[in-house]
Amino acid sequence: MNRREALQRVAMILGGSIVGANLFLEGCTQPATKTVEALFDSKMIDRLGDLADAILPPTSTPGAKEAGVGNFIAVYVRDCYTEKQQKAIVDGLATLDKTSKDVKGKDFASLTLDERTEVAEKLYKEAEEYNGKRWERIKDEVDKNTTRQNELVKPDVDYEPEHWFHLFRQMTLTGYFNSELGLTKALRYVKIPGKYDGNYPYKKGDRAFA
Amino acid sequence: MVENNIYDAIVIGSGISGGWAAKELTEKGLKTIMLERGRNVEHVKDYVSATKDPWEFPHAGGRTQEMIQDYPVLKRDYPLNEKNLSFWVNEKESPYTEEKRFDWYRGYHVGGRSLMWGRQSYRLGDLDFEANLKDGHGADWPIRYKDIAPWYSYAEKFAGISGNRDGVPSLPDGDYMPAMPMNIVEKDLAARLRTMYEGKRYFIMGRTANITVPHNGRANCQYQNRCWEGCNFGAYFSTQSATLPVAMKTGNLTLRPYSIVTKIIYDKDTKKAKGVEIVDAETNQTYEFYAKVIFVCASALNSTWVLMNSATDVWEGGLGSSSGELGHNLMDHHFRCGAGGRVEGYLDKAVYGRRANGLYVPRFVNIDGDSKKRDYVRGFGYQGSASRGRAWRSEEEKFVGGNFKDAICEYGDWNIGFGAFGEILPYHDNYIKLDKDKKDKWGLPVLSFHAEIKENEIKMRHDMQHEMKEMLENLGVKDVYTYDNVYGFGQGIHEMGTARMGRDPKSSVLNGNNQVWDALNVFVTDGAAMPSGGCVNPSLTYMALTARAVDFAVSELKKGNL
Repeated sequence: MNRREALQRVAMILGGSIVGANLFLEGCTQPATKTVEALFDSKMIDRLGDLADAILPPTSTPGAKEAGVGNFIAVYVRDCYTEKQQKAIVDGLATLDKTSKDVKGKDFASLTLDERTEVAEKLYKEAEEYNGKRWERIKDEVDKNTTRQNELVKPDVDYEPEHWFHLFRQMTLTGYFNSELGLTKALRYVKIPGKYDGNYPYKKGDRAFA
Repeated sequence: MVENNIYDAIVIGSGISGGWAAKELTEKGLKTIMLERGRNVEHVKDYVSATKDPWEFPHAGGRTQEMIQDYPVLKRDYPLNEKNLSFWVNEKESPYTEEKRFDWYRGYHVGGRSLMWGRQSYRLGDLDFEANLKDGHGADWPIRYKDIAPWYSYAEKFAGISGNRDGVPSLPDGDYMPAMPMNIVEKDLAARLRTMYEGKRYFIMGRTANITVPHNGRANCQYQNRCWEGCNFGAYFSTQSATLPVAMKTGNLTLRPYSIVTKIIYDKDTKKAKGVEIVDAETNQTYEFYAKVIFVCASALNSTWVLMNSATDVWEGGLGSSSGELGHNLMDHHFRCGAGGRVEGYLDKAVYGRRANGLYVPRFVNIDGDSKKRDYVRGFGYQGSASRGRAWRSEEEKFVGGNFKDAICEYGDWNIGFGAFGEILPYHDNYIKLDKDKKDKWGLPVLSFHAEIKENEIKMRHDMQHEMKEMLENLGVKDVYTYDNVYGFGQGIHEMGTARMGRDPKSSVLNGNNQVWDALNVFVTDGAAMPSGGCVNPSLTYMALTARAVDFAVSELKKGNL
């Protein structure tokens, strides 16, 4: 299966819910080293959407899954992550059911949306704590490898990644607030504003412009 | 095909300076060929991402691992992104050598960096033109403000610069179209600052080459703030939106993309240049073009590269090398430091529209009696803005879930932030030279870089942070922070110097009309010509210098002097 077919299959799997599928097919002209499926099978992409929904669930506006964030994350992890980060995400997702059982006594898939958000809350706290300790572990090395004024740029260092849920949450936010539904339904997307008003009336509850 | 190879004028490069040279030369009736090393970029048609929505970018505009591998220089700062990648040079084809760190962000295509430039447009004043003479760094500018002021006006009126005439003593006013507005927070803070510092410090509206009213058939700015993807409205000044169409309309311009100028052909009998040699970037064929005058506008460092690569038995170090200054006195603006904080209140106000512009804080250090307080010379300005970003957590301190999601779709607090841009002194030992051991895709020697900021700049960086911190605190801004993210030479994308103007052929490469002392029909009018850098964005000065030099060149041609 070539890359285009692979991507089309992903698009098919996600059906109507995926936003911009054809556009990313056209957009990625460089051959990728890995197909999405090499990292995530179709079931897992669906699961990415479910976990993204636990972070940004449907409210009066669409949730992350409907906005296509699961698919965005699959593409983003494939193309933009280092191998260490990819591994962190894949290994982290493999522990989701364990965390879910610890928190709610059930597999993640069997939980209600609210219960999934509780799991996400637990993971968020865990990630904060983990990242704090991680920083303690790497900060001397980071300091040593930081390029100072008038030095030649030092090579990138592939540090141990941040907690997988931290990475996942970042991608969820990025994906959602760059998606069509996120921008047009959750925010007030104005593609061509036409003017600037720096004294625009605002009250609490108004959605932000994008 | 037999290509016509005799013209009245040759312009090397098609960016801001080259576009201006072509416009002025063709309008004055000279048959001109503009040689551009890269591909053509057609206005609107080739702005491939300008009409896309954010969701059409597979990586949300970010960078892939592949991009990071392919662009080892571009990745060091913001330019590496998915949205306008095609406007940045292919680094594999065009490498260079860093004896010391130099971040060289290039655009090799028709229009050059006029497509991606920052568009802030300020005049230098006598504070800058007299600086070298007064403090003894670098060579004296051969011109003063009065020599260039009419050309600034000329450039501003054609390019379309929006701004206010603010009456700030350290920053000359120009000929502007209506300024973009400040937002409510900026307006209040600007008024209070002016009172607080008794008219010695200002927040003024940025002066930008984005037009605010229709101009020469171009539509006014639509506040999308995605200029660097190319603007289908032609609302900011670029070669494509402004100078090229005028030059084309004269019928006197030939534009030749994929034309890498390898050398200027010097005729030792006439002591002038007779033309240039190019290699066609697609076919590797070489061609020669001949003309009476040559304008070198290839961007500062490539202009100097062309001169250096034009060595003869008369000038072994290249054309213009007799003074020993060719390649030296490399400058940029140092930045990536400043201060910011949180502004309380104004929660019933937000901003509509995305303004590709901000506040400007003109230089206030080392002016009048202020210099007694400073342990460095010259100064810096700030660029920044107040803005209201989205909230990032819910009131009950949640970072996931429905309440969190709804909260972060609303606005949070107002913030204000400024980054400083400081002058780098012209140091003889900050230089470029040819590295003949390393070749580019076309077998041409590459540049090697040897530059760093020194004590004067490092001391200045302290004030660049702390002066703003103090101003913000005095204005009641909360949670004020300072930052210094380390500056890589070149990151300002304001490369200047290496073929400086001067009063004496013994200490400068160009005279006061931008003529190469050693070949008077060769003019260098881009950043290479700068004897000092000032602290304001330099492109407007290149426009003015170019228009002035063309006017001089054509009058000399008419007199039979060239």
